[in-house]
Amino acid sequence: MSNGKRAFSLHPDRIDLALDASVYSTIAVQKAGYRLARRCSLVIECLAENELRGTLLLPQGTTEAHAREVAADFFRELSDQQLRERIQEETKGIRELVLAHAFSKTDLINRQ
Amino acid sequence: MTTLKQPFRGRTDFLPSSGYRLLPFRLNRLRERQDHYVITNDVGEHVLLSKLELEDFVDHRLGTTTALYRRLKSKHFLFDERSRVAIDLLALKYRSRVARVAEFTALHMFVVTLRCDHSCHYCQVSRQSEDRANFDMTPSHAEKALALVFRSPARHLKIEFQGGEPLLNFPLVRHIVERAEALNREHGRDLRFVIASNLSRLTDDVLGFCKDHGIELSTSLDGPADLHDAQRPTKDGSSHARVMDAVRRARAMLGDQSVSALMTTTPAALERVEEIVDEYVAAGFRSIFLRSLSPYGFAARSLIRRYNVQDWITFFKRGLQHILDLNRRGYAMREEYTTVLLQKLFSPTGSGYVDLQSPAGMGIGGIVYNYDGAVYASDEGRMLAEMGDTSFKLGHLDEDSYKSMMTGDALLGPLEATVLESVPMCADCAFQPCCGADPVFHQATQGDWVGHKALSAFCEKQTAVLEFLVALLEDDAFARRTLLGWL
Amino acid sequence: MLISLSNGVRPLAVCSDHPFVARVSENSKLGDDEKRVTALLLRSPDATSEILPEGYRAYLFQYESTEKLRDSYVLPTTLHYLQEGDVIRVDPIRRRVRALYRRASTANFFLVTERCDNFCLMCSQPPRQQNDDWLVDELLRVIPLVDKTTTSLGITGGEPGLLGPRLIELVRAIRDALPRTALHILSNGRAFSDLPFARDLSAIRHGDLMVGIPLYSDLAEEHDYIVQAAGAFDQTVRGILNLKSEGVRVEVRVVIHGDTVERLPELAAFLARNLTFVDHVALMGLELTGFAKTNLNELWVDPVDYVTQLEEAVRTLRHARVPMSIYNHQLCVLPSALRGFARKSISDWKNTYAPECSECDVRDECGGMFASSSIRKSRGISPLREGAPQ
Repeated sequence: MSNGKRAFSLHPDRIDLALDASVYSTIAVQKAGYRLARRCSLVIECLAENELRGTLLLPQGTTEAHAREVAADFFRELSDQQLRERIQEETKGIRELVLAHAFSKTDLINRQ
Repeated sequence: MTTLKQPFRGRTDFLPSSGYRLLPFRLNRLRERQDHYVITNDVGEHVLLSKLELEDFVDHRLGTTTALYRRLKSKHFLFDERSRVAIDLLALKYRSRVARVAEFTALHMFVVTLRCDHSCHYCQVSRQSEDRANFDMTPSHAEKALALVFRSPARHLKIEFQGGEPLLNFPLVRHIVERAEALNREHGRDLRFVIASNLSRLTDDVLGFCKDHGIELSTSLDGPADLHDAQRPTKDGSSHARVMDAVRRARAMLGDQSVSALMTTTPAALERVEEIVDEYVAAGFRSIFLRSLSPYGFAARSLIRRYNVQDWITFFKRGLQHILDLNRRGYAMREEYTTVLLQKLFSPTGSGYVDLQSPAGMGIGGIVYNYDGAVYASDEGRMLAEMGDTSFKLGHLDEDSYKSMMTGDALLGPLEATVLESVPMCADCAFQPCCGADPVFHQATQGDWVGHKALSAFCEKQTAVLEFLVALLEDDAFARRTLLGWL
Repeated sequence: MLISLSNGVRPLAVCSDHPFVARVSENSKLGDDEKRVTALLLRSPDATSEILPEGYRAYLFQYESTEKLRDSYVLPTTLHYLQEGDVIRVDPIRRRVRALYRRASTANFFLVTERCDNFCLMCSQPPRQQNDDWLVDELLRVIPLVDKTTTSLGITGGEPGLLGPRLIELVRAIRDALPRTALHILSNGRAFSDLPFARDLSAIRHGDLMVGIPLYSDLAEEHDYIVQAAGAFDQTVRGILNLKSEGVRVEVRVVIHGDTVERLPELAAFLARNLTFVDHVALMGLELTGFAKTNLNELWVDPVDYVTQLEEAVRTLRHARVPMSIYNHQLCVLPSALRGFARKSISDWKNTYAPECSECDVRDECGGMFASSSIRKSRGISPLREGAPQ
């Protein structure tokens, strides 16, 4: 982690994000934000110096306790998205093989 | 374990050495079970596991003799150098699931009239009217529609009569059945008929015809008389009594399982699911379809308080538990929506339920021929049109060819755009094999076919029901046995 | 399996100098062509008052005779069961007669080789790895003698798949000679993982063919252990897939014993998902002979102790609409809900009943036990009384 900065900071009505881009992929961040759209809106600001900066906008009047909850959920979701990405990457080749196999055979087995 | 004598070799000779490969799968965190996940693969297999187990699995740390390893291997979430046939089997299973798409349109709905003698509060379409000229399907349109029915290559065809109240135009129903059978002598399909009716006009004449042609009946029974009659008013307020009488007579003439029933959840029904199910039991039904309210038609415009999806989810869970209790006490009963989901989880060919498919079942699974000659991609599409949005109208029997309707943008656009594999959130979702695209719902509620699933009541409902279901299958042995018996 | 009541026959005159096959008949008035392949059976001196006609392939006497025709033999009483239409091998050198086909039996199985590429822990016919091509040669001579009204025949081994093109030749010969006879081939399926071979079998277009293939687990390591051959699972499954894709009917056979009982429900789930299109699944009781006897301690499980697993497996297969049966289980050891699936599967010449079975109301519907099972008997064997709660 660069110069001891935190990955997130809580503010009234928003959560600022400063994510290490070598740990978190932009896509994973976007997907996590997408899933939480009911409770917050993700704004990605920029990717610079290996750091992804963004904000989770919260409804007006959100308490800090609630914001903390949203932040926790966001990071939980983000970790799930990272996992998904890993699995996707690792199984991509096999998936293509299975699909190619599935659609290459000319006869479907029929139970008469 | 006993040691075998020579020349037999022990188990260790045949064990996989450590080192396995992941097969494609999706994961969802379970909301009701902390730090637990459900994982599924493209062919509907599922496993519940803890976060730690999932991490061990993905990090290739699972021991090859552990129960979890063996379970994941058997269900094709991993494979090792001992056996590669998993690839062949996955390919075959996947093919079996998607083969249904090639069958093409199997369900053909004929709206033979829009006239109705009920004014159900939640109805999307019907008209209280005697105006046959404006609200009845013409024989000419019926004939054109039948030609399109047989253009579909599906080996199994189902013609469903709808309305309004189809029995108000029974002469046309009779005509269509007879014409379809005549045409089928040439085509040789498995042809079936069902009439979706409130059964208020179920004369002996109609019953006799149903018997002669093997026609099934589907009706609405919303619950006990007070509930049913309050939300399904008819001139003399006797809907419930008429349904009961008709069901009794239909069973006597056509057989015990010839009538099926579904209910529609309204705010008034929310607290009464057990009574509703019990009413079905009292009426001798062996199955019930717990249906949520669709956001179209009169329902959207009505003055009754709408309920939110969480209320319905609670309603559904209570209903399903009550049905399982009935089974425990010896009355065999199943819930139809659950059965569809179970088929998607366990059946090699998935489910044929048109409203829960990917690609969506609109047009390519089911199609609607409306009373006015218009052709719609789905029943919901027709209802949306009644609200002024005709985007799911494929064409008109007098103006458009089969080809132009089935290959036009009105059909292909939403089909392509909403395939779950390529849509945000759905692409990653573990419940993808159990779910379906619903372009009409999302068009009606969010203004586009795909919809933002995090904001979608459809998604919320599906997720909650499926999480509930997989938990039941996991935790409750009796529930599991019972549910699997519904397949 | 073959009847191995190989008992001494006594030649009365000159014999052939090599084994030969013949059809048994009591008819002394056959035409020349038929006589050449027939062994005339004479049960008593009064069977015929005339002089015995020449030209029969052999003469079998159930009494002391003074006949001097070539290939005349006196049968021991243990061979007096032979009947019209049976097909026998006469071995003049070893002085043995063996029934290869019994017309009255519903379970005629032809052994085509004792070689096998598996080595199952419970094998009832332990393999012998020697050249036994002569078995097929002989069978090709037997087939024309088999009664054309035979309802079904079986081919077994060893592993028939190892015959390669000779298996195809054999099945074709059976189809040609016996077009109305159903044929069941017992095979481990591995040879059919070669698609052209599966195709060749299918191309015969036998009118009523089924291949019975054992699968012992949903996991390769377990199946391979049980059949003692690495890679067997994959080949067997591929064999099943190939046969089905070529339109050949396949029955999956599961023997229930100490090594298969634990994962029986998982195997049923595996079949329901992956091999849902097979034509039949047979859940079978263990025959305590051959290697099953050698490995008895590991393999023997009392059926009443695996009722739970069996019930679950049956439920799973039923929900998947896979046709299934239970073989080699007595009605009394099965819970009443499963009795409907039981078949009288034990061949009529190797089944037996316990003394208590004489009091059983459903004895006639029950297949009884393997004669070999005297070394272990289920605690559940007891007479069923109709009308009594089970």
